[in-house]
Amino acid sequence: MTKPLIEAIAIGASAGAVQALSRILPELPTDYPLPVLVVVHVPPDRTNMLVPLFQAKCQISIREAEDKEPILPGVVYFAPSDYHLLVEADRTISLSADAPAMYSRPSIDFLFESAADTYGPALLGVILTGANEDGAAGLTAVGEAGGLALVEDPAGAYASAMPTAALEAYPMAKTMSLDNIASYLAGLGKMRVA
Amino acid sequence: MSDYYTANYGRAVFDESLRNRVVFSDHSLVTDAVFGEMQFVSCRNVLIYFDRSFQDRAVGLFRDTLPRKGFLGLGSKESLRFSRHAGDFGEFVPEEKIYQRREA
Repeated sequence: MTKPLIEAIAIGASAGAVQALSRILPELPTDYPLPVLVVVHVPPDRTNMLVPLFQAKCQISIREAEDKEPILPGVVYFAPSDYHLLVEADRTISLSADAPAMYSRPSIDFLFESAADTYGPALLGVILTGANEDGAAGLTAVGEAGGLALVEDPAGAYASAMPTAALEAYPMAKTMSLDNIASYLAGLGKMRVA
Repeated sequence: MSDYYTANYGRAVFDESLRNRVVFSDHSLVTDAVFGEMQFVSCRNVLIYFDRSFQDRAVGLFRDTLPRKGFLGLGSKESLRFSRHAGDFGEFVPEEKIYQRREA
């Protein structure tokens, strides 16, 4: 794989997301030089347990994204439940209460498409385990903007529908096992620092 | 308070005596000025669609329309944290995003 300078990472996951992210996010150090934007399909009730859950097991800073907040390296931003998470052209976050897409708010497609518009070839998009097709259009947008498109190997995924749909929509995406995705992301940080 | 509404199934219905007196009207947060003194302004999931300068304009209108100690309610993921007028409001019920205009 070529190694362009990645400036941001977007991750989408649904069914099985907590286990998959638990392999990846704890590998990232406190001084990780990239921002990580994450959409996990969660029910639209107010309390989002993902942030405290991952704060407890990660070194990298974990936050729930806030509207108009600047996107900083070394921070993992989770989409709040019942809002879409979008990236603005000035590299700030905006939230949206637009209609759910693919039955979901937050939508992985919305995050990936807006992040691809802003970061272009400097974006890494990662589709993990999940049971619907959200993220397929988004990953295609990432790839078409020149960014890196990465998909968890459906054969090893907890739920294969989402990675399978992403690969069908964008066959040029690179497939990796969860463990390899974890070490690849951790390695991106070291590459930047070196 | 509960004399004036009935709540059930996650929704609330105002008493008819109140509903008959409701006035619906268009007002643009971008171009219009304050049109009256309001005790409580509820503006949920609108500010997230504005950039910082329009957000500042809208929150300035809310401040000017509220009397001292008047209330402002925002959407659950909206805040005044990044607003120019943040200092004019205090947090009243932070988890419900209800703010109160300061005395001075």
